[in-house]
Amino acid sequence: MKNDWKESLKAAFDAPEPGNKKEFLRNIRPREVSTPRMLFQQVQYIRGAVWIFALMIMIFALLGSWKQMEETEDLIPVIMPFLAAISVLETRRSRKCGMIEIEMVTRFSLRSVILARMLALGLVYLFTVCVISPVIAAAFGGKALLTAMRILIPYLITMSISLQVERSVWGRKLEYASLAIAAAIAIAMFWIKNTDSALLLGYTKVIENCGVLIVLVLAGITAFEQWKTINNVEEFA
Amino acid sequence: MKLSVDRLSKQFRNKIAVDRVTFNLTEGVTGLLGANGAGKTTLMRMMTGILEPTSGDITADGIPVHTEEYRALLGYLPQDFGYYPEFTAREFVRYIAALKGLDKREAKRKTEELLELVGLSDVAGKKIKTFSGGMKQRLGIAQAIVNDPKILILDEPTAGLDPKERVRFRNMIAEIGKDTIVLFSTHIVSDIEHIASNVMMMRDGQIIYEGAWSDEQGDLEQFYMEEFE
Repeated sequence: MKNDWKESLKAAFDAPEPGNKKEFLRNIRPREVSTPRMLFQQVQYIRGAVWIFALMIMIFALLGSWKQMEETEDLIPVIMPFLAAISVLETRRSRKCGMIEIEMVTRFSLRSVILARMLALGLVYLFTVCVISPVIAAAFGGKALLTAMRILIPYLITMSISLQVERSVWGRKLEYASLAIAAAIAIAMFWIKNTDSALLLGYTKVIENCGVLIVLVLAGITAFEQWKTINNVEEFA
Repeated sequence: MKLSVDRLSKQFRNKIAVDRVTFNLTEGVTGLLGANGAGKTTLMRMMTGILEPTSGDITADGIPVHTEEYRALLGYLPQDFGYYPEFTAREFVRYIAALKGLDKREAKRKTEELLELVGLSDVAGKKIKTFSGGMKQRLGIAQAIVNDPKILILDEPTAGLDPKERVRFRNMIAEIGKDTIVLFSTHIVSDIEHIASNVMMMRDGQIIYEGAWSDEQGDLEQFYMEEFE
């Protein structure tokens, strides 16, 4: 009897079907997404080849230092421009792949996407430099700071020029302009090292005396070019 | 919801692409007709926040166009859109869902639901570069509505589609337009006739006609041809 009453009461007072359920759900304010979460989201979409290249540089530097391979100290600064070029190309993929308009109208907008990519790649590369500089310095009897500057200077020069070129008419016409710039700087580095001892001596002296200042100035220029790149997204569309 | 465009203009050097355009849109499908170069795409890009207007305002229930809140309400299908070549259809929609703020579980659920809706569930795991033009357009509409937008802007969504696909697309838009503000541009009059409750015609950056179109007013195509001769 009691069970019958229970069933009857339940049937009589059953909750009605929700009215305007879909409309109610659409009107709910979108959930907040934090910047670290957004950054992590973008990191997942950076191509694996980019991370692999950075990892290979690190492995080469560590292995070469451990094995006392003399070329290690000279080759790393020559390779770093290509890391910079790949980084610039990765942040510009939206334009190259025609995804700009779609990404610009999403909640996080293209500016946030580009900034997140730059931040993620910058942090990883900075970590790479911080790891390999003292290791190379210890292996070949130099100073960690000096080694870091020798690695960073070609990287920052490539980055700042590439960002500027990618925004220009040339950057729109030449799909891999950044790689061409990286190749030019790598050749220049190689030439300084192997061809002209006076030039090499001069270059080394400049780094020893003003390396920190040069790195700071180049870092400032790079940051400025990155800021311009992020703010000029409308031109890309 | 009310989407308000108030005295909107856009000037590029010597050319006025959009000239003091004013209109309001509510739920339903609005067709935007105009010849090539009339200013349709420029107008739509300003309504999506891609282009900065030279003057004028765009708001949705008072929310300005350049805010995250506005973009959260928005779905957009550009006239030409690309894709990251390594993406499959599923990955593409999930990526856009993530950018639109959907959490992983919701993005996964909506992706499968939408791919089913647009008839791409059997090719969801295939790379987009293998898709035909019609399939890419359907994928485009899926990404545009993944966040259940209240404002859906479609720039020439039926261009390049075969007649069967065009009918399918129109039916989809008509269904979506029941509780969403839909603005779609075209220069094919029959697209408008079948599904739009409201018509806007644009020429040289100006709106030359705006309002409902009924059979009593005559043939829309003839009117359009007369206006654009």
